[in-house]
Parts: sequence; C-alpha cells; structure tokens
Amino acid sequence: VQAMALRDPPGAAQEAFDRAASTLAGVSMSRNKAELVDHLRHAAADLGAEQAYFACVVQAQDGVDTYRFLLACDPAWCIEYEKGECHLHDPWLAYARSHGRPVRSCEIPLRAQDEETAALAKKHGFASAMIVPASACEGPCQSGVLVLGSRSAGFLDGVTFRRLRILGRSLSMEIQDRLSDLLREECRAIYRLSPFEAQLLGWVRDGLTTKVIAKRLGWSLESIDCRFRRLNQKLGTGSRKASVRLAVEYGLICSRSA
Amino acid sequence: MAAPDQDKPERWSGRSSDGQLSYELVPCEAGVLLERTVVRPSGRLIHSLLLRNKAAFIAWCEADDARFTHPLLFSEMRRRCSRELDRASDGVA
Repeated sequence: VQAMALRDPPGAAQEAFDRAASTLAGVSMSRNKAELVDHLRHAAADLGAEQAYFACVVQAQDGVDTYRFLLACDPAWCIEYEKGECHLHDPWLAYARSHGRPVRSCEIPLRAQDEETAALAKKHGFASAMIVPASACEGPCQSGVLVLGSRSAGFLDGVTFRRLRILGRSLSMEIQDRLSDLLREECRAIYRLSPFEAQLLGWVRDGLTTKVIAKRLGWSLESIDCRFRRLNQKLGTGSRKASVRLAVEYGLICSRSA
Repeated sequence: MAAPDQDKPERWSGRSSDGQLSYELVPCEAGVLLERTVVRPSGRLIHSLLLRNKAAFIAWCEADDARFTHPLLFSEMRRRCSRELDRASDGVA
C-alpha cells in the first residue's frame, strides 16, 4: 500500500487496498465451489488480469495424483492441457511445488519438455503470467498455484508486478484454504465417516496389519476384514489403501498420526 | 401420476462405463458449475468452471473431444446443462 501511495494519486492506494480486501473477504466467505470460481474471476479482473486459474495437486499414496483446476480463463485450455497430459511437464506447477515466492512466468526456466505446455498457455491467453505458489501441510490441496495472466506481454512490468505479488499471494492462500474447506465439507457430507471408521483408516495409514488391529480391538481377523470391506464399499474404493488415500486427500483423516 | 418437476434445478453427475470420464453439474445462482474429471494412469484431472450462458457452454463443448469418445455421456451432459442454463436465463432458478 505504501508503494502504491508513492506513485498513485491521493486516495487511489486506499481505494485499491479496500477493493482487494473486499475481494479476499469474498473468497474466504464462498459458500461453494461455484462462488469460489466466481470470486476468482472477479479477483483476477480487480488485479488487472484477463485470465486466471488456481490449480492444486494432491499426491496420492497409490501413485495416482489428483490435479484440480478452478478456471477463470478459456476453458478450452484445460481440455487441451488434459489431452496433452501437460500436468506431467508443467513448469508452473513444478515451480509451485518447490518454491514459495511469486514470480513472472518468464523467470521460470523451461526444460525442452516444458515448452509445449508453455506454448499452450500462451495460445490461450497467458502471454505473460504471474505464478503464485500456495502450500499447506495437509488437506486436500497441499500444493497449489494461482496463475494470473494476460494476452499482453507487458502486463507484469515494473510496479504492476510488485503490487500483484502482495495481493496475489494473499489471494492464492485464501483460495487454497477455502477450497480445502469446501472439499472437506463436501466429502464429509457424502461419506459420513464415523469416528471409529476414521480411527480404522488411521491405523491402516500408520501401517498396522489386520492382525494388530484385531488384537487391539479384541476382534477376529474375519470381523476386521468384513469391516474394511464395508468401509471400502461406503467410500467407493477397491482397497484399504485407496480408502486411506481418499480420506487423506479430503482431510477426513490427517496424513500422519498426531 | 405427477410429472417430474421440470422447473426445479437439479444437480447431476454421470460417469462413462469405463470410469475414465465423469461430469458433474451443479446449478447455482450465477449459472451452472461444471466439473469434468478424467482419470488417466498418470493422474486424475478435475476441472471446475462456471458457465453463465449458453454461448460459453457451446464454445466449451466444441473443445471437448468427449463428444466423439464418449458420445452418450456427453450428449446427456449437454442436454442437462443446456436445460439448466435455459432455466437460469429464464429466471426460473
């Protein structure tokens, strides 16, 4: 805000700050994913971006990671992205998984295999973009990234980038937090996991075998197996491991024991 | 027998028989939230977009190859989403 005040006419910095604060409040109060996507679109427009998306990755124990995208951009981009399996060589996602600082897309070095993904983004309106990582220790969106872009190559020049860094970082974190909460709520409402079922999954996560669980509960091995079969059925999965992965992904249980 | 209530917004989800593609439609105040999930060996990709009008929806449909690869599921999704968008634009929702 101080930086804005140095360059903008009196009152403009305050106005920009108020608008940004209001946008962030809207994100945090989104009642569902539709509202969250809508707030993302408004926030991007407030920040001067023509295109935006938020992506998050959930690393799964069974090796099949989940990539979620909230789109406030040309949706055809995401279809082409999926067709080309660009998630396997996405330089922006890769940056967000190992860095915390917002950067311009042009600052991220491209490997040969990344060039197709970068060209696709450019084709769909991300000629210049700001990459804003967001990370969390656990929950459905452990590694996220907000991308704010423009068809104009000079969108992030000079002062604009310094301003956007501050606001973009707040926005990215708010979206990640709210999306995690919404996914958890959605999952709890669908699956209605009892505390005992959560405990059982927690034990599997910690590597306890059927034999150990049976001994701990004073149950027979068959009863434990039967209980897990019912639990897998309830969660729509084919194995205990898949049930644990789903429960961790949606924050129904923690990714590690307390 | 009472006819189904055609004026009530409906949440809908559908999945291809091979389990690789699914759609979910959630009517909301601003239009329809569309979630498309594709399961590949390399990852599960879910994208969520808010459709506000039919023009945007038609443009999106034209980009989605599922109209060729999973025609039955796709046409069902298109029919239902169009209905919800029509309802929203009529101000019924």
